[in-house]
Amino acid sequence: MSEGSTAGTGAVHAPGAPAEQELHLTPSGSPRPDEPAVEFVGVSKRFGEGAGAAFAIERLDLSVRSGELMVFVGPSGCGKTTSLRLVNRLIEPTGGVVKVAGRDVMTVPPARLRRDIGYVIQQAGLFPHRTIAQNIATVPSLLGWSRTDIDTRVEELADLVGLDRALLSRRPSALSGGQQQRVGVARALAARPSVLLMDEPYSAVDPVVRAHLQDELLALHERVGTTILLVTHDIDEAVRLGDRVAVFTTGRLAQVATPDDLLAHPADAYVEHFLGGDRQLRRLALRDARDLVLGPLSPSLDRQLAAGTVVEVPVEMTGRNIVDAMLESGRTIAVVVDGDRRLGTVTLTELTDLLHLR
Amino acid sequence: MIAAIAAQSGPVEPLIRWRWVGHHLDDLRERALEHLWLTVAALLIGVAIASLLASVMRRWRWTAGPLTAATTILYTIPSIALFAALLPLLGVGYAVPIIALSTYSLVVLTPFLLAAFDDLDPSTLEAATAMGMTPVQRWRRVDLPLAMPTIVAGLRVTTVTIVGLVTVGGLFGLGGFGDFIDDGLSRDFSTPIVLGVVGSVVIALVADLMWVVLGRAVAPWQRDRDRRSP
Repeated sequence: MSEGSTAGTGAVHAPGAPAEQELHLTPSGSPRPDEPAVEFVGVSKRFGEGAGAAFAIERLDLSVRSGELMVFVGPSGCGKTTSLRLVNRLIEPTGGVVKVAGRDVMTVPPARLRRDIGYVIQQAGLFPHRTIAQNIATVPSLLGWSRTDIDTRVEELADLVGLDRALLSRRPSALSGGQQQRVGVARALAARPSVLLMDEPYSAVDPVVRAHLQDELLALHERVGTTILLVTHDIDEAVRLGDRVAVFTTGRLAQVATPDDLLAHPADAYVEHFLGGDRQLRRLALRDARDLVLGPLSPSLDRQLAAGTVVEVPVEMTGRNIVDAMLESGRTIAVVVDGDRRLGTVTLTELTDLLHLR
Repeated sequence: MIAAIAAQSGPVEPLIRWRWVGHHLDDLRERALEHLWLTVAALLIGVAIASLLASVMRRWRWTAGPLTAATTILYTIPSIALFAALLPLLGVGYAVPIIALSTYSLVVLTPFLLAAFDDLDPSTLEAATAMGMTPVQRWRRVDLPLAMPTIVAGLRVTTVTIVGLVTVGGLFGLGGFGDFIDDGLSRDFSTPIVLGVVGSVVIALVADLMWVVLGRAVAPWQRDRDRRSP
């Protein structure tokens, strides 16, 4: 990941999301570019009536920027999923306003609202009686697209999410869990929604597939630039995926920050505890060697390498991997290499400083 | 009666007199058609009422208990008793068998219809709603097709039950192959009895086969499961 991991700058996504990502909900004209894609204004949700009533969410205020990948994270029962479902009106608020593209969701007919909001759930929730192509075409066909437009779009999406086109004529039961999840994403993106909601999308797949799907999601987000709200109970997933992370505690927000900020400066003991240990190492894990400012290559480097006083690390490594390589070799200077090419050097002190520069 | 048969001298009565069958082909065709149309009529009425009941039970959950109890009590009435009870009320005619048969069919069918929709995967349904389907669109495109296998299974059991019960109605001269059996029993004549039993069984088997084929046709996705790709 690149932008999400840059140090404490708020990680706003680069402008230039493709024109196809227009916000369809806006009643007239084009949306203001600085308008939040999703906004919670004093939102409360109470379940039950009278004395037995309980707040699932109390006075939630949060803005999700256009093009941002925002992760809601917290233990079960903290209101993160409820918050997500308020966006497409699967749940309706008992107080406050939820806005999508500047418009109060309660003023838009639910079916119309939802056709402009992608939704991905845990076990993909595909329609078992329909082919993969038909599944992906769900929203376009509800919107009355022409046959040819739909066919073109379905193939485009299959390529986008890395799904073999030969599978398009199969039914969901013929696919593996990971493949089904890809179809779920393709189906959610089919009609170029303003916002993509993902509710624990990867908790039902095994860890290896999960890591792979997470990488794919980041690449996909970079490519299509759709605003994404993702719910997870896994803090590592949150830190890995989010441009920003919203940490929920029962019914309210404990902290909203970039992953680096969150790890560097937990707002309170609750967030600190929820984040767990190794926070500084995990901050280093958010940075590629590519993002580091490297020192010059000294003329004596060949000699040092031969003498084993420096250690060579590939450029694909994260800051955390480099520290590990240093610890293993007992050296405090590393040479970053891209194939045969040497890019520069980095020292343990520089890595340490990196975490303390604000 | 058995003693009377045993006491008979002379040629032994064969199980089937083919000459008699040959002379009653028209009769046979008529009874078969009657048996069929009684079954279809009772099934249609049963489906209509059972759909209504199942909808009410799904819409107002608290009605499920009492309604199920009521239909079950109806089912405990022996079929012969129900036919006998309705006869004086409605007189000889098609009304009696059709009412009795529909009553039984809805008892068998209603739980299937209820289960067909109750057992749908809630996450699939929620996904459909979240995609922006209106309630009507969702019912047509997702709920109904996914419920079809269970509905067809219910129709299959119901049809076979009705085919069997039409025969019971025949004992009261109310049509179908039961008439043959009634005739045979009244004069110790085995040929029409065999004809009635075999005819009834053949109709039941054909109807059963038809539903099996139809069940496959409405749920092609259920056959994909065995052909999983890596």
